[in-house]
Amino acid sequence: MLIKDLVAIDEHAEFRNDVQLSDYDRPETNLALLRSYLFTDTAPREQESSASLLRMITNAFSDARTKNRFAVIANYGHGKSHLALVIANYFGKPYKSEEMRTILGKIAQKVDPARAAYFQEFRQNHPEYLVVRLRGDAQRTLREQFVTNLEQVLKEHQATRSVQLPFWYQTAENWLSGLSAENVVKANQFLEQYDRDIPQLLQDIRQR
Amino acid sequence: MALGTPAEVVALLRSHLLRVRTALWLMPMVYLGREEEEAVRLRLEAADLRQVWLKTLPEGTKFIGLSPERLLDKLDHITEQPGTSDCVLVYNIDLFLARLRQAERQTFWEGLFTSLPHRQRGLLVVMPQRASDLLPTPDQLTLWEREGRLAGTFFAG
Repeated sequence: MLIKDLVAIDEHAEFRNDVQLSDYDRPETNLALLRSYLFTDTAPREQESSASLLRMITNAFSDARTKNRFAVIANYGHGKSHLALVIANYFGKPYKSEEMRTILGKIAQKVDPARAAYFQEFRQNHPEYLVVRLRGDAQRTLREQFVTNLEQVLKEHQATRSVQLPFWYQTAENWLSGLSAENVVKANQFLEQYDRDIPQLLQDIRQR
Repeated sequence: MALGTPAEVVALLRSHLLRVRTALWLMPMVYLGREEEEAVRLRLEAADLRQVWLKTLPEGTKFIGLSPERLLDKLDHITEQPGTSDCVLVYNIDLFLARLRQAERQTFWEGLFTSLPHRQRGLLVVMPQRASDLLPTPDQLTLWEREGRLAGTFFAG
């Protein structure tokens, strides 16, 4: 028996230390990173493999009694961002997409056929999820990022593209845009002490 | 203080060995105003932060809305934009720092040292060597130097 009869090498797998969750928005980079990902199916005691972690998240969606918050902790360069990108694609991309085909192929390489079939069936039976992708290394707080990201994610899916969030932003923008010239002068005089003016306020609102 | 040459520091930025590909170049007075030339020499894209910032301002505003967070955000924006080079030389940042309070400058420098990991493009931030009030503290500069992320320019003779 030859070694190649026992093991197969994933020629696309690659050690990457430059992965960002925002690569999700760059289709070519995103797909290349999915192709270079390698799932793990075993882990030292009290740690979880990436396949196991993905399973835990799918379980959380399937059973309301299961815990649904996870903190993934690892040192720099141990693949957290790469895994986050794969998970975001697994839940966020359409079942028949190239991204999903790539991920399911990666899972099938690493886990036994029955468990691989579970991951395939899970997405086959669930439409795309809204995956809000917040980054700890962005210059805005997670709270500041949330609404902008939610709006972006809603636009990514056919089913939610027309959803308008019932927040105050549009009302505020309309109100500020509709101020009379006299009131704009008054408002700018007041805002000057904060190094701001109406155009800046409007920009802040538009950028959330 | 043992500074690297700009070329050495740029080589390190390009190597992808660093988690945060941001470096600082303490530029002598005689080089100031020639930043774009120096960028070409180092095969970097040059970004005048004044122009970058002006492009993002809303029409009709009198204010730039300066804060350490916004300053970092602008630099982050530069690192994430596709461009002509994998590293960017950013200059005229001292003009913005001069407008910040001392504590805000410290916040900015602490943020710049750690907060742009794994970006698409590296950053070489130019600061006038003599602008000691605007520079990071000596302790902070030691950290930049220890990681090989601090460049200086040496003159022969």
